[in-house]
Amino acid sequence: MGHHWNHSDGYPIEHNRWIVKRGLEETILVLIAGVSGCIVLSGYFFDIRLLNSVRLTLLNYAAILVGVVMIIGGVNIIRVHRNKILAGSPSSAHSLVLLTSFFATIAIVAFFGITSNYSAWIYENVLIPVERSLLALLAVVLLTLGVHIRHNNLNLFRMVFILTVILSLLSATEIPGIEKLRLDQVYQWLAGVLSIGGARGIILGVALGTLAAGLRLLMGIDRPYSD
Amino acid sequence: MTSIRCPQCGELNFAQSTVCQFCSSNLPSSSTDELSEIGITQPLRVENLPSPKHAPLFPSRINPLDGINGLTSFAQQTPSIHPNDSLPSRLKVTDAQIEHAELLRNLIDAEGAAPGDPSRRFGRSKHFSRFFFSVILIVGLLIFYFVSIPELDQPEISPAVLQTYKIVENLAVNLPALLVIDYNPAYSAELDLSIKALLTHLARKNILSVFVSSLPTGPFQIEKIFNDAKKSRLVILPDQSLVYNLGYIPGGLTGIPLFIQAPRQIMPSEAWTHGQSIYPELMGINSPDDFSIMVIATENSETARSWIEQIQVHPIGRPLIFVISAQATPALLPYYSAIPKQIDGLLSGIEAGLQYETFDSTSDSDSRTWLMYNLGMLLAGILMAVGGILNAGITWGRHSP
Repeated sequence: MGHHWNHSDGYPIEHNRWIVKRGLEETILVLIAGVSGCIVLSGYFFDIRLLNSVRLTLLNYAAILVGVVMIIGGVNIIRVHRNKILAGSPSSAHSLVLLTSFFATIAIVAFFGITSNYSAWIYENVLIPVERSLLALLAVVLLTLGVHIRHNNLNLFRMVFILTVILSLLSATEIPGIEKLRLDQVYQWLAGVLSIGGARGIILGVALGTLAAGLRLLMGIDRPYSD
Repeated sequence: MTSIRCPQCGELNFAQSTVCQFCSSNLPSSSTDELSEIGITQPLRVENLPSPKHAPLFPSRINPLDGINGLTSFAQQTPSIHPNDSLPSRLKVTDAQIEHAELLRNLIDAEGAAPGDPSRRFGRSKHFSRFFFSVILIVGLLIFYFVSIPELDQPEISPAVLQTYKIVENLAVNLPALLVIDYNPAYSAELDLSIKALLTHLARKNILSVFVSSLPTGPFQIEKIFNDAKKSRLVILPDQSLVYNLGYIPGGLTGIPLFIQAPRQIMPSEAWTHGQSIYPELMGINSPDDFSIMVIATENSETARSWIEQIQVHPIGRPLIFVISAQATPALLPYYSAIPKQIDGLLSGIEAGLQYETFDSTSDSDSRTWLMYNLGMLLAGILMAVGGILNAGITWGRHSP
């Protein structure tokens, strides 16, 4: 079959058709995202039975999609670590441990159920100790950084930061034999004035950012689904 | 003209093609004039293309069909303009995308890199510092634990904890309570204390506690709370029928709005319909309004915000209590201190749990928990202050003339 050319732009007609098809696909995606978003959003403002029903259905689909994404994530983990083992990478031993633990946990929980003693044993003797150890390591790393923060480039903001940390730690502490460190007022001012003020600012910023991001998605300016 | 007509079959081909894409016969070479019309001033040969060394990582402009092999028969035969055949199949690449790709590449490279040059003095000193501070913290706390020192009195009850206690104390007994366990296993030591204290209080009032979670590990954490309660020295659960684990909210945070509106729909459970014999209270639950109270336990301020936002849209008309980690307290205080309050009760950190159970006279914790907690904070504060001052003095001494 011969190929036809569009002499106005120098590209073959197949190419132009492909561009049109691609544009149509994007338009459909934008429409789906925009209409779904508008329905879910309007459900917050109008209490209409039909609207609520459609809204709940859409949210149900979203919940199902999150489940599918988790499955895809699990499959991807298996794929990546299988490739590492097959390639003989330096961390292949870690990958082997990860995959073994992954499949063993799935098998035990699926076979015996989450209320079984075996599942509880894994949770209480593997997951909790490992996560708590990481948190304890974080505390030591933060403590080390707190000491070393003055090592280089000492400036006003770093000084204020480290002084606030030390004051917060010491003022919230009770010592045996000593009633209090007499820093209650400092702690209450830090926790009740400074932190609430800062948190309010952050919450307002998050709200404005969420609003802007939502509008951009609804209007089709941002199209994360088209990549 | 931007194309060449094949002398054999008469079909049109791209100007830069050397072989006809329809009959595979050789095409006459394009003149420089024809190519210059489309912005190409040199014949398209490999030796005329920029060397890979100087070529950009991504081309600033790219043909829409480049890299999509097999999409059309035309695309398969289009000669590659770029010398790097491994280019990704992107239709267009913006500067921002190039920056993001570079950033991602650097991040991945940094992840795979060694944690530091051990021959460098600073690297050694950091490792030594971490080891030194770990030893001081661990040994210090162990000494204080085993050596007899005066114990601290349990903390006095704060206004927030007292208010929470009163809310639970005044609950109607015929409606179940809803407890959301949304914290990671690492935080169970901090938050279990408050949850156990609340559970004890609810059980003593003969109120059924229904547990859910939007975290995949949540159902396991709920079972752990039940198991800990059974092992407790005080019998905090006189009857197993006073607790029920509804499990994981499908979709996690995405499922929260669904759960707020239609818990039965998103969490199908036999207890809703066949619970007549064991959990008759669950038969009448159609929305969170039908619970007497809602308790949300989390260490994550974002999770807490998600719950608050959804509950604000569909007010449950029941007391809302948050059990949060100390790290998330500043982020939730604005909701608690707002007028009118968006959170009715707040239990923050390990201190609030101890206060609650002390006030409720159901303390089951190790009497030294509070002492060790305070000593740990004191040690950390002293190490930071003294170490920081010494470090700063040494640094300034080196730089002073």
